[in-house]
Amino acid sequence: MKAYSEQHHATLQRSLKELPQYTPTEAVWEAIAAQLDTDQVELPLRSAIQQLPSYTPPEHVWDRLANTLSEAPVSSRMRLLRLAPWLAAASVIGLALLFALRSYQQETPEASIVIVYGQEEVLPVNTDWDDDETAIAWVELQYRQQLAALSNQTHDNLLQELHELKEAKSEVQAMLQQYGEDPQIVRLIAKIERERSAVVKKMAQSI
Amino acid sequence: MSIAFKTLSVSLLCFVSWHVMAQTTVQVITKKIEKTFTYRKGYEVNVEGERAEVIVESWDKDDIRILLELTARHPDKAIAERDLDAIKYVADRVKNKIYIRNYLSPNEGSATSSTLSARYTIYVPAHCPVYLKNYFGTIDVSNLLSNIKINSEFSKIGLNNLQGLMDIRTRFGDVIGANLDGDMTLNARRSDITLRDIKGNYDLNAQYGIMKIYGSKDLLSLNISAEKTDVYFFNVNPALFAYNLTAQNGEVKLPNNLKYNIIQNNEQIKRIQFKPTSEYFATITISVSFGDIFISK
Repeated sequence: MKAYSEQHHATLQRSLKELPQYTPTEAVWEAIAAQLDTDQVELPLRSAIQQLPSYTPPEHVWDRLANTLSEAPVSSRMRLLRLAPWLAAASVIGLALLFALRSYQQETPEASIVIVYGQEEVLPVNTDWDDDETAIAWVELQYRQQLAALSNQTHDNLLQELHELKEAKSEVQAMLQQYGEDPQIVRLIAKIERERSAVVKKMAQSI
Repeated sequence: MSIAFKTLSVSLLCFVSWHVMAQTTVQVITKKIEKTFTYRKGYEVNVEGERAEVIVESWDKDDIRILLELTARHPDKAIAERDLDAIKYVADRVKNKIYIRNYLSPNEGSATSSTLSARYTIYVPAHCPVYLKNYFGTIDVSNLLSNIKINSEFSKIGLNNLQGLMDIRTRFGDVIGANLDGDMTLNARRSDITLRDIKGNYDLNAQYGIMKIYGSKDLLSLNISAEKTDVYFFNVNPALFAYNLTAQNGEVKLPNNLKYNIIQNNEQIKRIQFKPTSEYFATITISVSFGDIFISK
């Protein structure tokens, strides 16, 4: 074996002495002290463990261990193949749960649709409910002017009623335009117009 | 034959002839749709009709069955068929709500010219809550034992043999109810109200209508607040109930044999009270402005 000699030994020694020294923090000393205490506590425990009786496993356990160790290691592919039935079952259950949840969320059953053709006779409708609007507007104007002159008001119960009934009539007319001249809707217009007439007559009497 | 008889016969003949000549034959095409949903506890039915006749009844099956008839009437069959397609509908269940509605959606560039209408006949289990909205048409609900909520305009409402909570809002739609047992809240504007054989608790609010209430001996409480409305209360024995009646700018009429107390009586306001001699009684509180109160047998 080749012998080695150290060169510049003195320089090394001086450099080592010049290296900065560090004092460990309190936490380090405390941790060491705690470990020593633990060791102190665990010493009798370790001693007791050493004195515990030991048992030799029976023959069949060694045989089984030997058989298991002698089997060829299972590849990841084989593991996957073995899990395949379980994965399939889990997928089916998952799909069933998803389907059940979807069924709970929404349901659109099949509709049975039948088209039936027929005929009926209808009477013409006289759509003259706007014929008196000019006269009604004149009465309303006279009433408003009188109200403003006598009481300095611009609005009262009769005017409010007239306005509400006029709006209702507009709604009914819009429905007539969309859904046609249905007798039920025409009767509604007739009822509203009768109420409007009563209000206009009251206004006319007070002018 | 007398001249009068001849004149009458000729007039009648002219009248009938005019009617026959004036009549028009229209093609009537109806699309009938039927759907059935399985009912589970917690489900509710929501109906939103437009120009619809809505009939809701209970039955003894655990299904919700919907019969929807969409109709188009026009002298020209092709136009009636085209306009029938413009009436769309929805009938689906989302979570615990079954939604049913119809609406008009004509194809671009073609306004409808037929007379169109929808009719719903809905069968539900008796304990299934029902919420109805209808705009122009009629509503008829009968034989339900669960909550019913109606919000309608220009729709006549019929209620028959109902139990439970009843919440009714109506505008320009008269309400006729019979054999009602439960708690009712009603708000009516420009609608006449007639309720017969009512039991339970009732809070009624009305403007511009006529209200007629026929209370039974099992009526627990009746509170009416009305404006520009005449209120009538009927019972075979009016002395069964306690009354707190207030009429502002109106009149109060009671049976002559009722020993009531006049609390206030002047041009503007009349206030009357009556308390029966029995230990237990229901209280009728009616407050009307610009209308009259009538208590009668």
